Amino acid sequence: MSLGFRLLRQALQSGVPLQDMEAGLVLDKRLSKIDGAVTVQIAEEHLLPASLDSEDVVGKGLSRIGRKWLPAILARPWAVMATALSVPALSAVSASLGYFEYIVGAAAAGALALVLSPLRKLCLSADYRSRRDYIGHASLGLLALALALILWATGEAPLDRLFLTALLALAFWMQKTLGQRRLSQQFSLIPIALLLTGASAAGLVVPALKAVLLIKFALLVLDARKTPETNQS
Amino acid sequence: MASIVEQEASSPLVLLCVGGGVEGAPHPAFQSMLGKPFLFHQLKQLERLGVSKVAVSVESVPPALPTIVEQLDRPGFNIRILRTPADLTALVTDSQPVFVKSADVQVSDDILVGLLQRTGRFVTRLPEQPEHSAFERIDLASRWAGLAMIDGMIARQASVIPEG
Repeated sequence: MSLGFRLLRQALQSGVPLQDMEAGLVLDKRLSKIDGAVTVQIAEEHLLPASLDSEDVVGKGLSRIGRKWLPAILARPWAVMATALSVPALSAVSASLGYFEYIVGAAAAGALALVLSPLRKLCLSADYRSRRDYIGHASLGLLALALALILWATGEAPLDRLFLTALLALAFWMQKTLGQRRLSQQFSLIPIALLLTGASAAGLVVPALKAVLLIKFALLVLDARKTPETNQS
Repeated sequence: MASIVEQEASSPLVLLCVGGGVEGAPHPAFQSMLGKPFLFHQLKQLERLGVSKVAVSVESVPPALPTIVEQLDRPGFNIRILRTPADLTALVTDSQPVFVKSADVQVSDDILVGLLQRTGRFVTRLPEQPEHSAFERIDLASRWAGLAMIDGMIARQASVIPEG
């Protein structure tokens, strides 16, 4: 007899009260017993949003893409490996193209790396839990370098842009300690990259960077104010 | 979502019970879902909901289990593997709440949080209806939903029930 049934039997014998479950739970698929292919499929449909929502960087639009792609990726070990490797590879390509001043190519590779980054995290979340994700950090470093090279190569005031970009990198570093799942994380790399791309086309990179920094630091200040309150409660 | 564990002292140990399963087939808890065993996802769900202490009871240790535990066990989310009822009684005091979850049951976050936050002992019940036929029967009119809150005392008493 399994331990579960021993405990159930003893609980019933000891007069532990029965608790009626909400009606319709099973029909609503909020409660199911896994006993075949159909129930596995139902369970996967419920598990997927939870996995995707656990990644803050996945916006609503990307979440929809993830819901479609992720089951297909996770079902194939080679696809998991390819997704995991694609982010550092694309980041390196982005930095290289930035160095050689192929701005569009560098921006495209960098953007693709950013889009794939949450999927990479989900593919590897189990394996990197208790270890430092050196490859992930190196990829982000390469993307920051690519951004700096792109900003250097395009237009005027390159030093201003590099200085502001360095400040932005600092803001992201601060976010790691201050902004876990808070306001500053909502203003993440993807909206910032899109904003800067638009600003670059309009020739307004420096003002856009200043605005981004202002917003980012304001959100960090709000997070920093909240953190001690949370710790005290 | 707020953590369900507000005070460590009163937080329940969650016991995931992997039964015997069908011979020749993997136990549903080790059925692959989204590339990972179902048990892995259950542990992730518990971690996400703020549970800090989990035990997985098995009759024999499948090869995948130590790997899953190694991947997910960390300070603040402690996972133990139990082989016998005595292993459980060694782990809990008489007054320690123990939330029992059948490892082949999937339950949504909101339902699970609601049950984990309840105080006092209970055994969840589903009425006898065709859609509930996969669940274990309690009596002619009801079935077990695979979830229960007991305490260390019940676990101790259960450990002396003879086999069979």
